[in-house]
Amino acid sequence: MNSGSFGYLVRQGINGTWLNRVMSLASIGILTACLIILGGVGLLSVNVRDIFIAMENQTEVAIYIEDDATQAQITVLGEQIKALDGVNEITFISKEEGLEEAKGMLDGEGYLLDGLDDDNPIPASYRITLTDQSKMVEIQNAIQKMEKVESVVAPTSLAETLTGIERTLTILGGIIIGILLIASLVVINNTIKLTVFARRREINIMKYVGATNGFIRLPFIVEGLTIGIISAILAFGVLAAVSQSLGGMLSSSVIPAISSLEIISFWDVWYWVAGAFVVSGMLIGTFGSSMAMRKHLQV
Amino acid sequence: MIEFKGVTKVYPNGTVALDDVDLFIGKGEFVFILGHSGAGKSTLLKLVLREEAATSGEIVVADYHLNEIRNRDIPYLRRNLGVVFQDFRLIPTMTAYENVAFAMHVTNIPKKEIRKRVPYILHLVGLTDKAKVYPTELSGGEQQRVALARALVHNPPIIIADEPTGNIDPELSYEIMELLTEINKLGTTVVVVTHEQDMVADFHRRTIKLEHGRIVADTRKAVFR
Ligand SMILES: Nc1ncnc2c1ncn2[C@@H]1O[C@H](COP(=O)(O)OP(=O)(O)OP(=O)(O)O)[C@@H](O)[C@H]1O
Ligand SMILES: [Mg+2]
Repeated sequence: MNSGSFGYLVRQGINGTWLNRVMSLASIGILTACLIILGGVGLLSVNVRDIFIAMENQTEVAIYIEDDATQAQITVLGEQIKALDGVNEITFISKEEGLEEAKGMLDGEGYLLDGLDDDNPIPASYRITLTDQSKMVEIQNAIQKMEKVESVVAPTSLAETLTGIERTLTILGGIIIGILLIASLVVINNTIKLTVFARRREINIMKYVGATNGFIRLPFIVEGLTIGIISAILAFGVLAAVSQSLGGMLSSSVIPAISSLEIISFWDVWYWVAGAFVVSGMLIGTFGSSMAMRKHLQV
Repeated sequence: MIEFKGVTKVYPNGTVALDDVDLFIGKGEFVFILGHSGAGKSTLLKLVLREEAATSGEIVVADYHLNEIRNRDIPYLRRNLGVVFQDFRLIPTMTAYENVAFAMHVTNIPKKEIRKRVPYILHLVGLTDKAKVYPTELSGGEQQRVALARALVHNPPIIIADEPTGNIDPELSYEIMELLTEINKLGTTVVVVTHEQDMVADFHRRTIKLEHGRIVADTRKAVFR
């Protein structure tokens, strides 16, 4: 293809977007909305996942060891626990450390436990973190059956809640994105069909004078692409503005739990967002217009 | 140039438009295809252009065997065929010049060549002074000449015209016909579909008569017999 005719066809495509501006605007609008939600859901899920990972890393399972366990038995128990699937880190807390910890938890009133140094009631324990929270119950049960284990304390309900929320968010996000993608495809498809209809004479003549299908299709692909790229730029702008103001609101929040959250800022991942927008905008645009052209190329 | 061997065309709804047609049109010939409405004239042209495929039989056009042609070769077959329709099919938003240039743009011809070729073709059909005019401001005869210029732009070996004078005043019709004769003199094969008996009588050219999808007369055979 020589550059002259390529330029000609690209101009035709951009003209098509303009010729058909009401529908093009509608397409751009819905595709922009789709991309914004796509990006919003994406950013939200990245953040939620991040927060969850942080929370999960802080959730420990405590394994209290019977007082009559020998040093060797304690070591064997540690090895057995470490060998379990899903266990991340393991630390040993001796009876003495346990007592110090308990005093710390009592804050200023640690002196209440002062007399107990010689008759320490706190058992030694292992503390483990998990690589996979959904295995918590399984691991808890396995450890419970091990030799010299007095009790296992695991925040299983928290783990269940977290995994549950994560799963729901993933499914919900998937459904929303799916619906929006289909909606965008339908609208773009119809927009291009209108242009195809407006240009049916040109298409007819192109076929008779021996233009190849690639040539006939190109202006419409360009039209789809134009819609896709404009939408990507708009969506990027909106999302940037929203996360800018949202980020400011969060960090200045009076609730310490919120202001201390480690938010993955839009600006940390902006190139991912931009890339994803341009790629999905272009894909949706091209795919939508190819669909619209299929029928018209059969002759 | 154009060869039909035992060609039958049945449309999906069961209409038999062509029925066992044998035909040979050689290089440089000028042929009228005559017949009443519904005789199958346009169908014959559609088969030549591979707009429709034959139901049975063999067709060869400009060395392309249409039974075996691949879809992606069809555009190249069509560059050998200049087509003119009764309704002109000009693009109303383009000037005469642009209408002709369009056919070259979309077949990947360099701009430089387009700038040379279009004025030459417009001169050939006598429309040099109407180059910048839009179709709505042209007479029927002039519009058809623009269409003819567009058909000639690739210098095709074959020109096909489906009732080219059907929408034009009789005096102007003769002008178009004369123009086609001139083009034929330059070596182009010309096939003209018409149902205007008078026109055919005045031009004394080979005439193939279709009736109900069959060839019922071919003056070439009569001459040779
Ligand atoms: N796409 C189609 N589907 C079904 N039948 C068709 C189709 N095109 C043409 N026909 C039928 O095939 C027959 C031949 O049609 P064709 O258009 O070839 O006639 P024609 O000789 O060109 O007539 P006219 O002078 O009116 O243009 C007619 O009976 C017509 O109704
Ligand atoms: Mg006809």
